[in-house]
Amino acid sequence: MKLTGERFEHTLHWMDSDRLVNWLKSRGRRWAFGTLLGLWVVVGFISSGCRHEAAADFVMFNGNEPETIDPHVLTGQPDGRIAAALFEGLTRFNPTNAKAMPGLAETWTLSSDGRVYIFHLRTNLVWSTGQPLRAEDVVWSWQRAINPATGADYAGQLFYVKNGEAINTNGISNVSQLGIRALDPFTVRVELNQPTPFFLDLAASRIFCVVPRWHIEKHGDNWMRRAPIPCSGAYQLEDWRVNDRVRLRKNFNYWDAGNVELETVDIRSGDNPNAALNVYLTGGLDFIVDKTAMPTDLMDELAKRPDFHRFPYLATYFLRFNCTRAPYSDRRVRQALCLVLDKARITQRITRSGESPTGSLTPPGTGGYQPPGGLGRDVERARRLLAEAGFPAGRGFPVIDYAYNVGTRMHEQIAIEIKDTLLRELGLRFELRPMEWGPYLRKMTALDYDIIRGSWVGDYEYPNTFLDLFTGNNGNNRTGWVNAEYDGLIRLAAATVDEARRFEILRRAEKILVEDEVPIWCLYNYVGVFAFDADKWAGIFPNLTDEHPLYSIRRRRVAAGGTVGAGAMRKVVAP
Amino acid sequence: MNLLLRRVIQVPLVALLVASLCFFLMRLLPGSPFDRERAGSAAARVAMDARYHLDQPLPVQYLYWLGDVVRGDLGPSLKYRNHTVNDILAQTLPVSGMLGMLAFLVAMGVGLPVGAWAALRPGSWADWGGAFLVLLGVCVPSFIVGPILVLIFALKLGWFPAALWGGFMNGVLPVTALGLFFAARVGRLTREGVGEALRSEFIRAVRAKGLSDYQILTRHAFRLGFMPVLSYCGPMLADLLTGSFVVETVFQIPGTGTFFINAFNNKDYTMIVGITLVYAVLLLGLNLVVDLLYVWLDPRVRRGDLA
Repeated sequence: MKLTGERFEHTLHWMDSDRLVNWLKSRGRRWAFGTLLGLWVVVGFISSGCRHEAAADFVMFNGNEPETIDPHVLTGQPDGRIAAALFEGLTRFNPTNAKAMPGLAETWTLSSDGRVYIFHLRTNLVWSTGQPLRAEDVVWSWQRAINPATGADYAGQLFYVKNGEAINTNGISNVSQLGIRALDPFTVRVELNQPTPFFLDLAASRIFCVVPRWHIEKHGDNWMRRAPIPCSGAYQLEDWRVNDRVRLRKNFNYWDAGNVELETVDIRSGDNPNAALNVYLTGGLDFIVDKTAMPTDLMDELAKRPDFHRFPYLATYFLRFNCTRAPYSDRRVRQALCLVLDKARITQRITRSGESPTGSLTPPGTGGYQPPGGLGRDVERARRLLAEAGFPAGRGFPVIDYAYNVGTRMHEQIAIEIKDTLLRELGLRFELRPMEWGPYLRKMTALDYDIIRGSWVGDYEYPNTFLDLFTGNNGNNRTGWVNAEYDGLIRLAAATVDEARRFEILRRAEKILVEDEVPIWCLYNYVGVFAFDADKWAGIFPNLTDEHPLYSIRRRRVAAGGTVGAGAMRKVVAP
Repeated sequence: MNLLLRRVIQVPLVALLVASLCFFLMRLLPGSPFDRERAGSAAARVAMDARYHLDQPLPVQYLYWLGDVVRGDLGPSLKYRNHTVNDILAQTLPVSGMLGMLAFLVAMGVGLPVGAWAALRPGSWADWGGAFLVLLGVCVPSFIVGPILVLIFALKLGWFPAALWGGFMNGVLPVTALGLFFAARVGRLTREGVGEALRSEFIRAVRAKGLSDYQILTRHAFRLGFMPVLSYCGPMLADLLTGSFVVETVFQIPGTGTFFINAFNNKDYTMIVGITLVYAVLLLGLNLVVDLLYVWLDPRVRRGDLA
């Protein structure tokens, strides 16, 4: 709005003559009026700004605002942490090592062929709202999760259960065909397609959580918005202020409520790591749980603090080759590229959180499995392979188009390192294509790239969570690479009961993936990072899948002769 | 009265037009709100599209949307699926509004005195110092001012929380960071306005009439000099009330500004169209109020002399 000369004058004219001005003419009235107005505004704002609420027992920073906390629908890690506090499955994660331990089920038996589990529920199970929780609730929950109408992105985790895949992909329309039945109110029978050694760990994850049938049937899609939400886990939802904080309150009806110490927990959300760090450093947060909630630029500095803890994390950073596009369809080309990079430079100079360079997809030690070593670094061999493929000294090789998502500078720095190396060692030109998240994902799915950045976080601690990706029909393959021998080995391993033999077969498969065919270029294994004062809090442990359930967290109390907190912790986690 | 009625009816219609345009433009962009890093099952994707009518032809989707909007329902958020757009706006608009109003008070409370002080002593150190501060305030963006405030007052001195929203103390630093930028502009406008007024002929006339310096200043110079500021208040308020993405991000404040920007990246169709609609109503409404004020203030506008 521009102030024209005319308007300006007219306004002035009013100021001198209007009745309002006349009324306000006496200075006393004017001051009284002005002061009152000012006071009213200030008091109004201050009172609306101050929240008269008690501080929570424990405040944690959880990273991005959760998209949904429906355990069957959610995909994000921050979402999952909240859902895991509200809902529980037959098993739950042991906070020390993220392995399954009894949850709603107290005991279970496995049939001799490894395919049928009988779970015996605890007899004292009650929803947070007081209704009894029975075997039928478990059955209905799993049926909801597998139902395509629910729209669960993680439904694939239920494909190990008989008929799971057929129901979710619309081959079978009746969800009661899923391999789960209630034998009586306290007994659940689960039938699997084949022996699945990691099934109990899987059953502790979000999509297997038990949700309240009557509440969901009554409110439909709005069930998360209708308080009180009946909860099966250690906590219930008290309040959710969007992009601000979720407040959880202890569920006193939880079967293990006696061992849950924190009564109120505030889970704060936000996407600015610097802000979270500042608040933590000034004492406003007890726990930063999400790695994305820490500034990578400061990682090596922060790592020196005693309250910042780093630990191996079940995730790998790798690049995908488009195996349907020449010259990347030639495995010699792929091998040559993979052979030249000094990965330690990336982990020491760029990522700087203590990541370990890797030549394999599966992180070493996953569920006791040791992957093959991968290709290593051999520049001479790389040059030879490139020449064999028809590009001596890189002559005639097209410019490589490398796509990666923007948002964190790290991806760009890694891309530049690769670009320099390829030009120096092989004479190849490498062009950087930074992309927004959505277009980047579409490019990957549509196989519209030469090389593209990727990463994978394991869902459970077993090599299959990584190796299954590159079977020919896996939706996350996204390289166009299909190898019958690889697929056959993965299938063979699944049908093998003996673990040593199974690992041997998986190792043969992974050797094809990371040494012979290399549709992917593995760079390093991630580390997890979290921050909390270990002198003040107990019950938070580093583990491979970054699971830190709230029910085990407790305040350390210094008693005569040592800390009580640590001892109490041991009692809780003993499975 | 006819004019008034016409203008009042215009507001929702224009806002709806803007939002509809936004609706169609958003759909022209490639991609879907349900793009994920991990491939979910195709059946799940079909179910999601069906739930939010994304499988329907665009005109049908538009009719669904229009039907809901007429009933005051902006629809579910496609990204934050446990919330409706109404719900998110109801929670975030008051936060942005309060931040904006307090920043407005800071802008006026700092800008007016500084500008007037400088204008009264042209060429003095106060004038130059004020001009320097104003230049600094206008040129240094809030994503630099914010962290500097945090560094000094939160990390070093520990007087205020470094970020997040909560009690009154949480508001001090973001309000200052946001307010200072506008304070600088207000200061500059006041400095020029009052300076101009003091140099004009009529000041000599009232001085000759025998008024005291105090009376000259309060009754004439300031009143005239503050006019440019008054007219700047409209756009400034609109800017402040709709939420500042930068300050909300620096201080991690749950306001509408962040949702508006992020909704675009998330392809959260309902959210972006909904916020656009609300912003349009807000801006058009503010404009209408300003215009009505002019009608009320100026008899000639009322009579239509200026039409």
